[in-house]
Amino acid sequence: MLVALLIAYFASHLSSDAASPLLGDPARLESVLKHQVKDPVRLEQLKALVADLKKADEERKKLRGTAVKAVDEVGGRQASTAAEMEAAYGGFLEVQRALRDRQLALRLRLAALTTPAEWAAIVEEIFPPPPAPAR
Amino acid sequence: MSIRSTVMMWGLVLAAGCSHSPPPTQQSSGQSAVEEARAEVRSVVTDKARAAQADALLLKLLQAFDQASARSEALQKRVAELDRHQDATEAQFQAVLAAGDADRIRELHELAGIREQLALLLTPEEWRKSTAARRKLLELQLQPQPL
Repeated sequence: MLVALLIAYFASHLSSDAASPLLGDPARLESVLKHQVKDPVRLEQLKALVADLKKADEERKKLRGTAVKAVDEVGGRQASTAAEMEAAYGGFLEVQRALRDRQLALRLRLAALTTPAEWAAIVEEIFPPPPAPAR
Repeated sequence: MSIRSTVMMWGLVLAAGCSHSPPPTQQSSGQSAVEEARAEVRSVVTDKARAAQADALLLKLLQAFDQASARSEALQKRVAELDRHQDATEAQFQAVLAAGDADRIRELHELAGIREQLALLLTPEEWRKSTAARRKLLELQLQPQPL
């Protein structure tokens, strides 16, 4: 149970740490872009961008699996020290940061390729406003 | 998946493994995971003094999870808020994310330290028993997860 809790903690870090929540689900983003961007030339450019995002997302999933296994292996061994634990997971944080920088660059390109009206509609669709409180 | 929901999921896994427990509500399952962990330590570590020390460390670990969860949620809110602005710059994102990275390094240091203290406190047999349950969660965590 002790190691299970640590696995839960580290795995959740790797699941929730997107550079930008807008990019968190590339398939959903693609669907929203198709819905909101009517200009075919820019839409094709945006689709290519989403393809890059999907690749980054696949890398994130692989990284997550490798990191979880490492936490299980190092964390499960009683003789492992805190320094070993930090070194094992710290390496993954570095890789994750590089992956996040790539996602962020894609997010900035996405913003540059859309008009303000399209951006507003995309944000509205991906981050719908919270429901008004009931009277 | 947030840390809180992951721990809740673990609570559900534990409850599913116990045929005598009624199905937990979502609200109760996070607490259930905490209580299961403490009960496990109490049953595995028979020496009262060491059991009390292990229990205190486990509570410290769970408090650290809770604080990390709150920080993670606050970070995600800040990034989501930035995301709404089309003209948000890379520097603005990096400033917010760097603060999150610094928190994460501190959390890692704290959690690894608590884990080491627990490992030093338990006998090999106690350690084996108290870590045996991790396989099921590991398998669940290795399944593809959305962000």
